[in-house]
Amino acid sequence: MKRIAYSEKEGVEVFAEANSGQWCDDILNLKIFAQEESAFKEKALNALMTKVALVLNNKCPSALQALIDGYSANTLVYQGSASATDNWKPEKGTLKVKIRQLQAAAVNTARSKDGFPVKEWAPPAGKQKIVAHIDPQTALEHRIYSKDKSCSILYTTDKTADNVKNWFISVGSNSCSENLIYGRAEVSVFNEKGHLETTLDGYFTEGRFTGRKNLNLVLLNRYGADKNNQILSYLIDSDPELKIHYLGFLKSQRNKKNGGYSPWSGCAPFTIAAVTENEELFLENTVTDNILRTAESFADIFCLGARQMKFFATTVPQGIPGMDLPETKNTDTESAEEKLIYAAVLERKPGGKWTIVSDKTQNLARLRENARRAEDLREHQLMMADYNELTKSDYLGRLAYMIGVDKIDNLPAMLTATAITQKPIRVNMLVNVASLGLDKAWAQWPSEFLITQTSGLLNRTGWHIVSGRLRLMTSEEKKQHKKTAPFAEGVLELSSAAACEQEACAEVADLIGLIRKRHEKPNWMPYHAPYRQENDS
Amino acid sequence: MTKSMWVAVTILLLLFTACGVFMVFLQKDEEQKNIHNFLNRNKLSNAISYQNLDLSVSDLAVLKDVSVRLNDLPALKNTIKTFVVHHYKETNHIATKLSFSAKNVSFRLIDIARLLKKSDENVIDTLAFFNPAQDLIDNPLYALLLAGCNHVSANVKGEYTYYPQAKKMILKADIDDKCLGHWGGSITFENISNAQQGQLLLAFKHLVQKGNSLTDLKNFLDGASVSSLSFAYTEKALVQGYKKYIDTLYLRQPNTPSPAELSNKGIQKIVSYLSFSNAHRQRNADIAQTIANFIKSPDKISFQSKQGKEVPLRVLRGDFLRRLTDLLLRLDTTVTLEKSTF
Repeated sequence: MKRIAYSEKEGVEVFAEANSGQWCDDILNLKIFAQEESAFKEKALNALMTKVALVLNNKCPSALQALIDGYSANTLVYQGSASATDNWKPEKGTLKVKIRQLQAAAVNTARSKDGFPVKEWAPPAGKQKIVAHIDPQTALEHRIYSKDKSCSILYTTDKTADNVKNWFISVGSNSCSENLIYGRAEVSVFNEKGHLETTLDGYFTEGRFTGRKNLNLVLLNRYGADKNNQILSYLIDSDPELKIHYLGFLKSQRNKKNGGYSPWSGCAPFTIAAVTENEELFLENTVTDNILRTAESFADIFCLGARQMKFFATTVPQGIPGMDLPETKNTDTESAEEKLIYAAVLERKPGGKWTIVSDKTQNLARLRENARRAEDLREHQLMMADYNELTKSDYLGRLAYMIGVDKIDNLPAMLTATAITQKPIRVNMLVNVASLGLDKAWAQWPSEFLITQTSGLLNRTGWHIVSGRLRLMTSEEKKQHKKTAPFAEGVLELSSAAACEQEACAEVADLIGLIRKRHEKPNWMPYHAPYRQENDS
Repeated sequence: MTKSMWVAVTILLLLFTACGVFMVFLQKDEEQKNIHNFLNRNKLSNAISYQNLDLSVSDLAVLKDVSVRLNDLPALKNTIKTFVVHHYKETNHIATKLSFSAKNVSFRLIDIARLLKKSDENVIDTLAFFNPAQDLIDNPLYALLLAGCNHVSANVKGEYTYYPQAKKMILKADIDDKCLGHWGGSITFENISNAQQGQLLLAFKHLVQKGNSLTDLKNFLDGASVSSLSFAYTEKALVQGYKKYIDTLYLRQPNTPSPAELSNKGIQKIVSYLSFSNAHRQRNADIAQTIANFIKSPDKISFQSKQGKEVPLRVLRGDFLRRLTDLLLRLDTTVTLEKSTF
């Protein structure tokens, strides 16, 4: 740790945690040690952070955020954060703890710190020489060369490849790199007859015309929504700690009057995606705000002066209607919502502060999590109800619960009922199968009786809970099997069978195991609800 | 002897034989008329039918292949191979002695259950939720079926004696079936007037004719006392069958005690039940233990009341089991186990 500020008069020292001897980073970990706890009262801490801000602006201008731990008498008495965008005004809360937890979770699941995948997608390795992947199906783009083939541009047009195959360019005041024009250039595009089609005077990025804006971007994917909307995504940054890839989007729109396409631009609005599978990041307001602040800082870098920003978090790098793609009527809402985690439209107010303005602001991650928690809670309540019921239930009741039926029937009782009603009866019974035959079996418990239609349902002897139709033996069957003992004259036509793990299905004695298995919740425990209620504190 | 003498003797023998046969026919015809008149007089001719009758030197009547048509169960198939009235005596037009026996009284319990069933669902529900203790009293027919008894083929004996002067009546019954077991019992009623005696016969007639004789039996027992009671049951298959049903009901595992057998807790429950009628706990404990031993190894159990006791029936209260318990304890009945075979 390095002491970056102190005040003998106030009895306060401010330290920054250092990593490999370096304490300056975009996110700082500050520890403030004060003699009096009153140093962390709002007014005193604001005054202190104003002084700390001077140090940071001077010695670590790249710092964007600071996580603050405040100690008095070596006891942690304050936790909070501050950010450069808020002029380092401290904000009390447990953001730091949450971020650390999320970072730890992200690191635990990361395969490697660099190039982590999101749903098996990862930006191409290396940050300098990436050639955008062109989707030939949707990207209306053709490469047009100079006559000597030394230079080329990637020209957006809705004309076919055959139409433009004999087109050429002439390049003025340009430097080509690997056959593609980068940077400032004046390019004239001629058709196959040698007539001038258009002149592109401005900046190029990887051969694509960006007009008056010089964008030095790491392009990722070139694709299109439709004839009128062409898109180019680029990598802004990757955060290996939180496992987020930040992607920006450029658009080129078709002019319906002349059929030409606008230069690539991405600032009206500035569209940014946080591509991550770490959905939990968006469950906490403070963390979401922190990510939004990061996006705001990217807006300042890539689109200084942009008034509107469209931010969305997603699990896929492209293809979300209403986000990188235009909103369409035929949108598969369910499929898109599965991929979308969070979406917000922000506007910069006259004071420079970004605020969320869109009614469409939505945190699907939280909605999903809330729904999941509600479902978990509901299931927990059901399982608790089952538990309470089963503690009062007898062995047969537990057996019935195990296979999800109302009751387990008794062979003598049901065979008597069959004899009285003279109709087969649907039963569920515990049996011990003694032997298996061709599509039949013999039970030895509760009585020696025949089970038929066993193919594919019974494949071993031993204890089972079986279901099917119980009927009396026909006269022929009685003669054939020579059964005279009471209750040996029954035949069970099997419809389902569940094998027991232990003798007489003794596993049902383990109530918790029984409920876990039934609800497929292997870690469930009775008594305690899985989540605290919102109003619990 | 000459040839003509042989012929004469033969003719005489033939004549005697023919006369004998003729006389038997006449006697049989007379018997038939008597029985027919008896059944007609008592309005039982529609309810009781028989295929044949035998003449007997010692018995009053021997009916063969008898069947009874009960009013409540008209479709119940039943046969009695032989019904014999051994003795019947009237004094001043009052029946004072009757003894009879019936061989091979046959019917199927399942037929009765089918005839009495309300609906299929009711049958299934009753059997699915059958309580082996409570429903033994409430639904004995199903209990017998669950014990594995269906085809009844019983030998029955009955005896009725009435002393009009002493107002005393003795009833004896003996039933023996290969599944239901051997039941024997005797009961002595005191304070039975002539009119009440008539109610018993009326109860029998109404049972056959109307299917309900409860009112007649109430009238018969009104003001009566019991001075002697004995009862014995010898196991054949009934108790063992019912135990087997309980074993399956409570999933008895091999080499474990039958859940049908009484535990100490079960014995204590019986003691408590008995003590509610009579607080003689040691005797009650002995009775409960005897019953427990019988259930464990069913063979022969006997109930015998003490001589010199007399219990008016009107003092008995509660349901049937409570009244029976009260009666047995008030008669100071002893319960003993015996070996049925030596």
